Amino acid sequence: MMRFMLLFSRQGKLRLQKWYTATAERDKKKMVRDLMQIVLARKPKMCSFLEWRDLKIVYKRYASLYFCCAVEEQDNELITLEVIHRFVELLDKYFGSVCELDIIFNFEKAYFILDEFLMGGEIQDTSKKSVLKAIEQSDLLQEEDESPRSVLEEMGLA
Amino acid sequence: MALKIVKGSIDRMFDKNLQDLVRGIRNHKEDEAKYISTCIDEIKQELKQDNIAVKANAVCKLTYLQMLGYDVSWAAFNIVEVMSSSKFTYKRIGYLAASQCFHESTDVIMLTTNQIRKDLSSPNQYDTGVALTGLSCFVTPDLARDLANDIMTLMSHTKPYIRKKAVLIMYKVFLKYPESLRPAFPRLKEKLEDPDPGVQSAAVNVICELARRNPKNYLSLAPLFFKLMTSSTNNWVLIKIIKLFGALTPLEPRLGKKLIEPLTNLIHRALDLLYGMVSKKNLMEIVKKLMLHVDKAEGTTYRDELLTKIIDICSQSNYQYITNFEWYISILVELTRLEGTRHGHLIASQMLDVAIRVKAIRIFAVAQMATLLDNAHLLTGNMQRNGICEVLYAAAWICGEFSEHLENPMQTLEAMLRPKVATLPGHIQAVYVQNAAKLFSTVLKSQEGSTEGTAAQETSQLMIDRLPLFVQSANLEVQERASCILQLVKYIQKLQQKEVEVAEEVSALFAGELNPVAPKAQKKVPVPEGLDLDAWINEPPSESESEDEQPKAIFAKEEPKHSRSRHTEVDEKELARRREARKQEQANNPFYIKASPSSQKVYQESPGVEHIPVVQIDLTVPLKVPGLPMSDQYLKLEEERRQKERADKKKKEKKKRKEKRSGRGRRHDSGPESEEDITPAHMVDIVTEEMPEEYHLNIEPQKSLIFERSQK
Repeated sequence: MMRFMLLFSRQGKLRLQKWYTATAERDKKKMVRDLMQIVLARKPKMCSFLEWRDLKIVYKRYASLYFCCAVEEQDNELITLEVIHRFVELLDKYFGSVCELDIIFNFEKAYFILDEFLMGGEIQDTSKKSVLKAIEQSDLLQEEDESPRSVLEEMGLA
Repeated sequence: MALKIVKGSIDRMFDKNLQDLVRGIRNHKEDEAKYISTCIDEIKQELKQDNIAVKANAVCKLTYLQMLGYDVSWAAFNIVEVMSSSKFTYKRIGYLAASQCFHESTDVIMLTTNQIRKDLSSPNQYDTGVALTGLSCFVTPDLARDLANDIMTLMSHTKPYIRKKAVLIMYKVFLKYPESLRPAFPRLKEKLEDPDPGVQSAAVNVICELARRNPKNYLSLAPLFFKLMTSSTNNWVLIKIIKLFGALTPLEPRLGKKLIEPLTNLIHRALDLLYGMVSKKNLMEIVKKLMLHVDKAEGTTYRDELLTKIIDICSQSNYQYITNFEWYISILVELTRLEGTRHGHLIASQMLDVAIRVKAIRIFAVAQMATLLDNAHLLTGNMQRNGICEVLYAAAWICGEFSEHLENPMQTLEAMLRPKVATLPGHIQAVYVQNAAKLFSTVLKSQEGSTEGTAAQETSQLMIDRLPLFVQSANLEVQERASCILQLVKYIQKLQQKEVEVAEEVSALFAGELNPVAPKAQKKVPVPEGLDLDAWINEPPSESESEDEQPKAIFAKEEPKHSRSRHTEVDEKELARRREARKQEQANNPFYIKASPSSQKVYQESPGVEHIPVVQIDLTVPLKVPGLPMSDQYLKLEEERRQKERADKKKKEKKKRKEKRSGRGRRHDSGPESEEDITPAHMVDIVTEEMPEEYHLNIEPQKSLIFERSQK
C-alpha cells in the first residue's frame, strides 16, 4: 500500500501532497522536509529506490518535478515506478503536454486525477481510458453546475 | 444594513480566486510570509459569509496553502459546510480539503458521518465517488463502524465505477474496524468474478493485501486465484496474484507444485526479455544473477534452461557483449559443476570456440582446462550422452592443441592417460588419445633439451604402458588412434635408445594452427584452372585398363556423358563383377580402413608417419562460426586494448584493492579480474529517455514533463 505521494520542484517547493493514512500535521511537515532534503541531494545516476524509516521511497524526476512515493516494505518498487509513470501519462493526456505550471495553477485538478487513479494507496483502475473518462464526466458535471448565472447572483445580491 | 450588504458585495467582487492567489504568491517571492498572512485574513473574512460559493473558493485557497505547509485545521468546520453543499463543484473542493487535513483527532469529523451517508446514496455517481475517495483518506474507526453497511451495499451497485471504489475502500475500512470483515467477505468473494475488469482487479487487490496479513484464512480461495492467474492478461493483476501465492505456498505444499508450470511460462517470458536487455556493462551482473538462480534452482530442466540462456546471451552477436573473456571461461567452468545437465556439448563447444578464437585468452583457458582434466574424476560420474563429461572433450582438445601454454604438461599427460579415462564415452576417449599424442610431442621437446636423457625415454615408456588399454577399446576410433600412436611411440623409443633427437620431427606432426572454418568456405574455394569436377577420374572398370592419374585428366566434354550413359545400361552381372573387382582393390589398398581390427600391421613404416593427417573430429559439436577469420583479429584487438586499460587501471587501483582485500569475503573460482569493473572499449551512453539532456539547475517550469514521448 502506498502511504503517501509527494510532488516537488527542484527548488524545494511542494506542488502536491497526497497522504493515504491520517497523520498529524506536524508529522506530515517533518516527513516532507526530511524527504525533500534526501531526494534533492541525490545525483542523477543514483538508484531510484531508497529506504527511509520503515518505508521504501521510490522517486523519479520528470523535467523539473520530482515525483516521490512512499510504499510499504512488501510492496514492489518497480510497480511503484510504473504507477508514477502512469500518473504522469494521465496528467499529460488531460492537460495536453503537461508542465509544472499546469500543476501549479490547476492543482485541484491534479488531485482529482490522482483520486481517480489511486485510492487508499492502491491502484483503482489500470485502464487509462476509464480513468480519463471518469474525470471528463465529472468535469462535465461541474460545468453543468456552473450554468450561466448573473454576476449579481454570484455576489449574493439577487 | 443595506449598505453593509453592498459593501460586502463589492468586496466580493475583488475576491481572489485560486489563480490570483497562486499568481500573487509567485509575485511576492520576497515577502511571501507576509503576503500569505494577509491572504489568510481575507480567507477568514470570506468564510464568515453565508454564500457557499465564496466559502468554497476560500476553502480551495486554503487547500493550496495547506500544501505549502500552512496549518489550516482551524477551518475544519467550514470545510464540512462546503462538503455538504449540493453542488458537485463545491462538494468536490470540500472533500479534497478534508482528505488533505482531516485526521483522527479532528473534532468535527463526527459531523461528517451523516453527510457522507447521504452522499453515498446519492443518485449521482460522481457524488458517491467523491465521497468514497475522500473518506478513504480520513476514515476513522467510528466512521468505519457507522458506514460499513452502506459501503457494503454499494459493492453491489449497478455502476461498475461505484463498485470498484466501494471494493477498494473496504480495505481501508477493514484496517480501521476489523469486525466488518466477516459480513463483507462473501460479497468480496463475489466481486472476484465480477464482469467488469476494473472491479475484478480491485477485488483481487483487496484480497491479496488482506491475505498477506493473514494467509491461513484465504487458502480456500487458492483455486479461484489460480484460474484468474492463468486467464488474466492484465499484468498488474498478475503481479498481485503471484505475490499472494508467494504468501500462500508455505502453507500448502501441493500448491507449490501446481504453480510450477504457469510460473515457468512467466519466467520464460522474462528470460526471453533478457536477450534484448543485455549490454556490455550489465552482462556480467546479469549472468551473475542467473548463476545465483542456477544454484538455487532445484529442477534440472529449469537449470538447463538457465544454462542455455546464459550461453545464448553471452554468445549472441558473436560475443559482442563480453568484455572479459577470462571471466567467460570461468563462468563456463563453473557451469560444468552442474549435475545432470543435458547441455554438456553446449558448454564444450563454447569453450572450444572461445579458446580458438581468442588468442590472448589461451593461457588462462589452458590452465583452467588442465585443472578440469586433473579433477576429471568428479565429472566422470555422469556418463550419458551430452552430459557434463562432454566438457572433457573440449578440455582435452584445448590442452593438446595449445599445449605450449601448459605449466606442467607432464602432469596433464598423465591425467589424460589414467585408466579411468577408458570409462568415458568413445568419442571423448578418441580426443583424449589424439591429444595425448600432441602433449607427448610437447613434453619431448622440453625434455630432450635437458640434461636428463632418461626423462624422455621414461615419457615414451609411459605412453607405451598406457596406450594398450585404448588399443583394446570397443570403440573403433579410439582403437585406430591408439594403435597408430602406439606404433609411433614405439618407433620413437627405438630412436631414443639410439640417442637420436626426435623431438623436432615429432612436433612437425602437429605443426600449424587450426583456424575455425566457415561453413560456406568450401563453396568459396575457386576451382583451379583446368579442373573439371564432373569428369570421371578413372574410367569405369569395364572401359579402362590402366590407372591414368595424370593431372591433366581433362576429358572432352562428350566423353563423360558417354561413359555415364554407358554406365546406366549395365546390367546385374556387370554390377556383381564390379563389386568383386572393388573388393579386391580394397584388400590390396594399404590405406583402406576395414571393419576388422587388423590394421595394426599397416603402420609399420616410419615414412608413413608424415602423411597421417591430423583430423579434427567435430561431428557432434556444432561449432558456431558465422564469421571468417576477420573476427579473430577484431577480438584480438579488443582484448589487447582492454588488457592495456586494465593494466593501467590495475596500477592505480592496486593500493585500494589491498585495503579492501580483507572485506572481500567469498569469491568465486573465477580469475582475479572477474569482479573488477572493466570499462568497455568505448563509452556506453546510458540514455534516460525522459530526461532532456540539459541539466540546468533552474529548469523552466514551462518545460513539458514528458518531452518527446507520445502516449504509450
